Amino acid sequence: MILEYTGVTADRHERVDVVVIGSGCGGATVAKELAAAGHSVLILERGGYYTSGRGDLDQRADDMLARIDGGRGLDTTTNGQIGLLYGNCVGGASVHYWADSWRIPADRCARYATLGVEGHEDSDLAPHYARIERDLNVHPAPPEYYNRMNLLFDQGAGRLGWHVEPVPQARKGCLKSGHCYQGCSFDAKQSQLVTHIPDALAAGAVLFADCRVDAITTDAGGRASGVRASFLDRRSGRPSGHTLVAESRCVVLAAGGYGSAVIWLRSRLPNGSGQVGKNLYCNPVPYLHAIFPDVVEQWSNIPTATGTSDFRLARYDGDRYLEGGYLLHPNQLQPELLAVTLPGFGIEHRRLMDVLPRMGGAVAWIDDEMPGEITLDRRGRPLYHYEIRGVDELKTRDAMKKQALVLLAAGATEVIIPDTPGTRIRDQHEIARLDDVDIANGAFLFGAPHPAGSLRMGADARTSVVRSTHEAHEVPGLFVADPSAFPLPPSVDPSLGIMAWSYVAANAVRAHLG
Amino acid sequence: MVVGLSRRGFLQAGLLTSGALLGAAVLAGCVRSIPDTEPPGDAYPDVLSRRELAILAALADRVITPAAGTPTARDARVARRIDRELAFNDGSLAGDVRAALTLIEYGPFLDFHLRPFTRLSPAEQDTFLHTCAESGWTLRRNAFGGLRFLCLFFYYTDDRTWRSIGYGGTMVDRKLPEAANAREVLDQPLGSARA
Repeated sequence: MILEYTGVTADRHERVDVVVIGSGCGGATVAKELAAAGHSVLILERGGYYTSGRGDLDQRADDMLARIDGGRGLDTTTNGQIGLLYGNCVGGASVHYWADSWRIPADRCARYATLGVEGHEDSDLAPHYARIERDLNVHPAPPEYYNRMNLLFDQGAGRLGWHVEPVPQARKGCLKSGHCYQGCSFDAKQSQLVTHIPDALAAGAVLFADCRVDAITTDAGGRASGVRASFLDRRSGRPSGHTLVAESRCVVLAAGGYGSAVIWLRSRLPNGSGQVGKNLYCNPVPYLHAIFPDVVEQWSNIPTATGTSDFRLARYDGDRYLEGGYLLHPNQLQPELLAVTLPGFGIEHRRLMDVLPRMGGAVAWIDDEMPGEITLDRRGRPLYHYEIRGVDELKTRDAMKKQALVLLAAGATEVIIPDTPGTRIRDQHEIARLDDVDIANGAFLFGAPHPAGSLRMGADARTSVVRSTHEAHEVPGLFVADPSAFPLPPSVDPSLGIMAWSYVAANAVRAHLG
Repeated sequence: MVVGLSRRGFLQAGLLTSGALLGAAVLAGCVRSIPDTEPPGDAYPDVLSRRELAILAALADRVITPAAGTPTARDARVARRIDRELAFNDGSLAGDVRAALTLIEYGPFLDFHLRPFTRLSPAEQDTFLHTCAESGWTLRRNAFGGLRFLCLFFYYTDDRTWRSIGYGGTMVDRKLPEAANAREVLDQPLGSARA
């Protein structure tokens, strides 16, 4: 059963075993597991419920940012350097993700273990991955899903001697529309909206959409006891005037890497470690564009059929950074979004728009090490403090050089840097100019779709927020099941890893409930 | 993926600067009423003042150079669509946009013009905007960058522009969201979408 804003006509009071805050990869996975185990589960989702069957997923960037993106696609870090990309709808960010489905690399799991994370080693997660990969039809992208930009990327990488591999995709019957970021109109992308959410509902879970959690409540003993929430009017995004009080035996916080710490802080829950909201990583993404001699139409077919992991791990000489620390993939942006990332204005911008079908690009996913922080302003609104700096700036510049290299090797006649002056790179000798490109506040556009770390897991309550059971050190009965709990970014697209961790969390919650 | 437009921290920090600029301009007697050049349907914005909307429309005229046979920024009602979008934000974005518009409108005084942006010639406006884009003053650069982002996004989401850029469009019919910022709903009162 799903309750939407049109069905809310009065205040509500619910009593359940578990309240799950958020319906993305973390919340949906936990909810369906607990419901299947016979527990009463109430899922609360701040955003709306949108489906292909009702024609909601109309592929238009303006309509779909308004429907499914947090901040309607317009939130940034406080310095304006980075666009924050997160979900705000039933299914969470999985509704707009690219369906890339990587297991967290074993080396990163081992790193987590050194930071006090237990029970999340690669071998622990393997059975969960197997189940997810089966249920979501995860498979390497077959050749027919390689669009022109993917083929060009492989050609360029091949000429440079880089190893490329098909990117595992969670798709079933993909029609190659290319509008993955706007939400799949054909239910082919195996987002939570069409997988774990229906599973949870079929098992008896109840979902309230358009429902903003205002606070997690605690009892006299400090245990999580439920939530207070406000129903929103989807036509305005503002509270409708109706409220929810939910009492529960435990609460699962899964509002995403940009959202969960905000709810914690607003709820004024204990923060003895001082770590709540700190350690914010976001996997920043620089995009470089390039003009090719022939038509590319990067907006067709799936975004990332291929890529290279050759540079995933940074290499150091002692403390000195040498190279790497990112994934490299072909890029896909729809024309409306390409327009805003291309430099210039007026006739200069017009000339770039005139060659849009010949425009390709590459992205890098920076495995960031220099965290930011989430705080609240005086009105309780979130502020995301983050700056690409230190070794992350070195990684970013190295990544941009590799992006330019692969685009030129693929036959691009010109690489376009989306900095304020619109720097152009026309051959390999000019790539060193990327050392001097201004990437500071507002001079260069980055996206950040993969937040992590702001409620990090660890064994020590003085330095971490949740223990390896996903239960908060300081709030018994409160579990975190989203990337906020990752102590570091996973170095790959996190979706599959979030789901696998959430299976671990679900087992812990079941043990808690008895 | 999408890139951001709000330059929140810097713009909020720049409000005082904007106010100082405005005050200096008023003292210099350089601020006169800005003609309302928006179409009649845009006379009553949701969030911005009519003056602010006119500044935004003037800026959009310079940011957008339409291809032959495609709508102008005013035909696409870019400024008014941005204004409608602000109505769905929690308030911080509107503050940023207002501050940015003030910086754009009165920024020319910093460059020894005696007229605000909306009273410069198109060529002077372009020169000024280039100055903003390349400014070492982060606040000024971000003000223009954020507004540029909004103008481009709301222009190129107008499907009448798609053919000119070689985009064949979507595979499914349009369905407006409840909180739509589309050109088609701008003359309807805010929040009147059918449930």
